[in-house]
Amino acid sequence: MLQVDHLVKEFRQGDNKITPVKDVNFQVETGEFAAIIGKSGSGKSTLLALLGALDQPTKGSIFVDEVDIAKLSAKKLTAYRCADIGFVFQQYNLVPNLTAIENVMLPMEFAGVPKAKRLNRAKSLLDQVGLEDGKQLRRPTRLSGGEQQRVAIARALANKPKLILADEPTGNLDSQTGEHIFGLLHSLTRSEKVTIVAVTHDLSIAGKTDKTFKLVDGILHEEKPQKKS
Amino acid sequence: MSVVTRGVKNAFRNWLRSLAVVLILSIGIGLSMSMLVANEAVNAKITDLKASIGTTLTISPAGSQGFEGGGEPLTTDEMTTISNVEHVVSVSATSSFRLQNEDSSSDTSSAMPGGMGGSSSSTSTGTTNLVSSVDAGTLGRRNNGVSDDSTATFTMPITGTGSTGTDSSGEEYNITSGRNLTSSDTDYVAVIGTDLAIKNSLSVGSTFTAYDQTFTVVGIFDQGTTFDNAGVAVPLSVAQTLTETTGEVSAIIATVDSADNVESTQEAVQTALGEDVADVTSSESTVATAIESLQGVQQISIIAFVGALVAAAVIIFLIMMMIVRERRREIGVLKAIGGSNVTIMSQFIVESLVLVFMGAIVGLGVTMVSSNSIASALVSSSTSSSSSATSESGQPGGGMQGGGAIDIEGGQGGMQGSTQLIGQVAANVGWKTIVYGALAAIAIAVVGSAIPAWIISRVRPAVVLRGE
Repeated sequence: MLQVDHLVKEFRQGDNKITPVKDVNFQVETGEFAAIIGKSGSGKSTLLALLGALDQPTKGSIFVDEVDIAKLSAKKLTAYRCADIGFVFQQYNLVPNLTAIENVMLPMEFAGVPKAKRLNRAKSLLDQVGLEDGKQLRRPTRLSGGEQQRVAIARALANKPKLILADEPTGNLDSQTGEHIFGLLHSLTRSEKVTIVAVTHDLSIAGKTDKTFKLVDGILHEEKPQKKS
Repeated sequence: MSVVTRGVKNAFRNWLRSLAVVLILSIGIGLSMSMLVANEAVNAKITDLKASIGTTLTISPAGSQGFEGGGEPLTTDEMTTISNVEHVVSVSATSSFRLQNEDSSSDTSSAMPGGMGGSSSSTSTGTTNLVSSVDAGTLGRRNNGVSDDSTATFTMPITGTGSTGTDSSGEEYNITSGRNLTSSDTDYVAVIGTDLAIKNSLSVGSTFTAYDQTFTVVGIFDQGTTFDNAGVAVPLSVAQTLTETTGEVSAIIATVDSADNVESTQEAVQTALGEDVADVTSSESTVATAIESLQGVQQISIIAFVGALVAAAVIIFLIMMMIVRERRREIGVLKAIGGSNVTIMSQFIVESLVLVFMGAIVGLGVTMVSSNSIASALVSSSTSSSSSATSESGQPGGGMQGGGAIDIEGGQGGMQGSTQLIGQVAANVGWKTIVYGALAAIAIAVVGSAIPAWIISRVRPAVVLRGE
């Protein structure tokens, strides 16, 4: 379960103080798919960075399974990111000189999983996200956008995280591929019992999630549930 | 895929850039290793030169070193005084005389070359049936008052030494046939130089006459120079008897216990004997000039070694900075998916090490090809600049002996002597250099990637989102 209480993030930009996240409170249950929508510059990415322990909040708490990650040390945050969080980025962010399967193996290497075990799991995950065998040994530049995003999703699942944070996961894909990727993410919440929080502009996708939040000027509002499975 | 494998793989990410980096680094590392090799070669040469100084002091009558000769002969009492000086472990003496061929022209027989070991006015001359192996040459005639167009015959005298087995500079005779003289020899026996033996068709067992006595050749020596190999040596006591100088010696050779004590012992002996009695010399001064110029080369090579290393470190630093800046987002991704600072920094340090090691391997090739030329060029430029400086200051040189075959170049003689002493500097790339090179490569990689690694640790993983 993800629970966020009174989360605030402030920046200093010259003499100005910017507060992209102002007193955010929300909760997402285990296995739920939540979407955060908002205009460009509304603070969506900042909020995602805070949830993913990529940045430290100015105030507030973020509980993941009752552990307040806002209070963890840098070393524990690294371990937390490695074991409990999976990221899916808009621009996929695969390591360009590694093959698809090597990219999926990378988080497991950081977690200290033995080589044989990580190879098997990486292959199994790539099969699960639908990347053909022949493409698993290709480098990202030789894969389509949709295929790269499948690899990124497989990589996010590598260490069996509790939470997957997706930043515009379909933003760089055509609508049909975007649908497939969304469907894939949605199915994972069921099969892997993983909580997904996705930041998106795509209102059609937002409408298909378990929960939808709208971020306006740093304040999060829960939209009326309109789950369509 | 481990951190090391990823680091190695990353080093070949951009082949063209890696190739350029390796080439530039190889020049820097090669140059630094060449300087190290040159430094070692020069160091070995200095050690050789220091060893060649030996531990002997030559004590001659005061004033006998110049053209004019002079001074009172040394005596056995002075030998005792010298042997009592601290650090002196043994004392030996030689007595010099000259032999003039009995058939040579009577009007030139008294004309002796000046400066031949000094004491020209007091050195005894006897007659012999031997013929000198040294051709007097034009200079020999001129220095002895015989004009070039004179029809008179001038024959170079033969230098004789009363000895117990060493020449006048204290070096033991290098016997090529027969045996050397010993302190127990009291008969009319002699060892003669190779050239003199050839000129007079003498071998071990042959006889010749000197001072109206018949001497038996017991050994033939080769001291390496035309002048030395034209000489003859007889037992010291025999020489003293024949020249009626019993108790007197021409030169005393004192052996000092260690090369480090030569200078202080030289001063002590000089003080003990007095400056008006004897001149005390060692070969240290000539060697000191050579060592001084080699030490200059050593300093240059150390500075260049450090400079080339710093340049290589700066190159790898700039390259790693560029790579880190280029891969900032990737670093953010690695951190976001659980990579620790240590893991990511290690990956980049491995990448830098791979580049530096490749540069070091090519640099080793550069060193093998260039180190000898660099060492020779350094030594040659250093000695020639010292030589010109010495020449301008008018320092006198050696080669004053007269006689056709002997160098009389005067002013430049001193430095030419040191240049000859230095000779060839052999630069070899040994294991020591390779180990130092490897250590230097590691140092370059670590120093060059330290700041980029620190920058990596400062990259916030959120950068991966902010850029989007």
